[in-house]
Amino acid sequence: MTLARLRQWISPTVALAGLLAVWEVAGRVTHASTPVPTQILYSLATDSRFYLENTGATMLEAVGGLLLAIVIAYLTASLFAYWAPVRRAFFPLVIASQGIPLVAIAPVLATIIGDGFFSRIFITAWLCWFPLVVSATHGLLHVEPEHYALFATYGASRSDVFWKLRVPNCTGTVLAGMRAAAGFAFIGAIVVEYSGATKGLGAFVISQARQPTDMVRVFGVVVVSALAGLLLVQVSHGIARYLLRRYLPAER
Amino acid sequence: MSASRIRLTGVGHSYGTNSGVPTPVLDRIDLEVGQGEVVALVGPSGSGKSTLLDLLEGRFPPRRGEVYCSPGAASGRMARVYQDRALLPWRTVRENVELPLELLRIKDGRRERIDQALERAAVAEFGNFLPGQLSGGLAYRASIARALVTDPEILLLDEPFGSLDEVTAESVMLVLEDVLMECGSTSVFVTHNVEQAVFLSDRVVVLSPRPTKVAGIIDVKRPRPRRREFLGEPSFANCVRDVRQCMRRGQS
Repeated sequence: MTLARLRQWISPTVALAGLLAVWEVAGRVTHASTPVPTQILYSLATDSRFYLENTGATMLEAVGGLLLAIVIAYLTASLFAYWAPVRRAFFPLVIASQGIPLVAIAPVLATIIGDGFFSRIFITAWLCWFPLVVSATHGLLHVEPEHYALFATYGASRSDVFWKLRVPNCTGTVLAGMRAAAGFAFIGAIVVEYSGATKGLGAFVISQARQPTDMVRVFGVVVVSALAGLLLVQVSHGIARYLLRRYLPAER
Repeated sequence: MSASRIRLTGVGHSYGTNSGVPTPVLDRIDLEVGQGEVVALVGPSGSGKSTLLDLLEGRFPPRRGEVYCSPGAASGRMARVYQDRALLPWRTVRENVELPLELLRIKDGRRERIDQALERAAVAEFGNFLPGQLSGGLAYRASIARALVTDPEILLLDEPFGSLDEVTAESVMLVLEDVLMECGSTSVFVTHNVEQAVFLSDRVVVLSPRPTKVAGIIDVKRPRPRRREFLGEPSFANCVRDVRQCMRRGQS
């Protein structure tokens, strides 16, 4: 790490440490019911089985939902890119669907389609497919006019235009969409657990919200879910980059 | 002169506008290009030079008149070099040159054809580079190599030196002269640079501003191949002067 990059890290780290110190001191002086950082840290260190189990459950739903969303979104985007009439009819509806606050209706959906593991995956997928379908559609459609003209000069077939031009062309936007979707997937999985799940970070938080018995764990869950969400974003981005490296000029 | 490869008779074209009144671009163009001839189209910006190339390529029919071009684009024996190079950034130079063969389903002797095209355009040692790693001149030569890979009988070049600095433009011009000599394609290129038009062509066709007519045709009688020394000869200067005068007359 260069000195300049080290510098970049120093200030926010010191600031965070300062804030945590203030929290710690204030908590101990006032004897508030809110746990202090050292208590949370202690819980994280000694209670790892609880955190791992619940994070695992949520992560499984998030990953499952993300994968399902990827499959559905890319099929939909390909359909949109291939058949303009389908796109004209349904793409505005896809955009409009984002007006529905999905977080608010997730519990309703869970009531309708059941609250089992697969229905949680399905709802999570619905929560995170939007950035995927929009980014992929955009990337598939917005090819350089001269690139398109080049293919036309040689009388390229529709499938050649699709596979040799549109698909490689959309990898950049797909990666960006993937990043956003992975973030949504983890949040989605937590929110979906609010209705009916017995295991998982969201399930624990909602049970504590109804009847608080273990505030230290609640804060521990907040820390863990932030880290796990970040991990999912980074890992899925890394995998996508690796799989698409052939089409990312900067990677070769 | 041998049989015409390209013949435009009374070609007129206009573009639709939002107001519904079509904007006339080409007024009346008559032009014949013989086998193996190199013709430069020079004219002010917006004089419909690229539209003329589009018509030659058969991308759309003219509103008036007739365009004859043999062989046509569908045959794969016509190639076009684009102003912005239109190299696919995720393909190496070699893979870019291979693209026309893929699109035309030409399987025999791909390797040899690609090697020869790279050689002719003087980019053989850059085959494994990505377009992003090339300078403007090299990128242009790579796009020439791609055009040559199908042994085109007709070569259309759109603003070959548009975005190159003077020194690079000159070296590309000399490469292009060799290429045109060697492959013997019937070539039409549009440019607004008078010197380059005179240097490379057998005839310079001067176009008037919109709506465009042929303002004059200047024959460049100098035999081929032409070398750098031609640039310093009185006959070169005379041709350039004639073209400039013709352009001025066309403007007024």
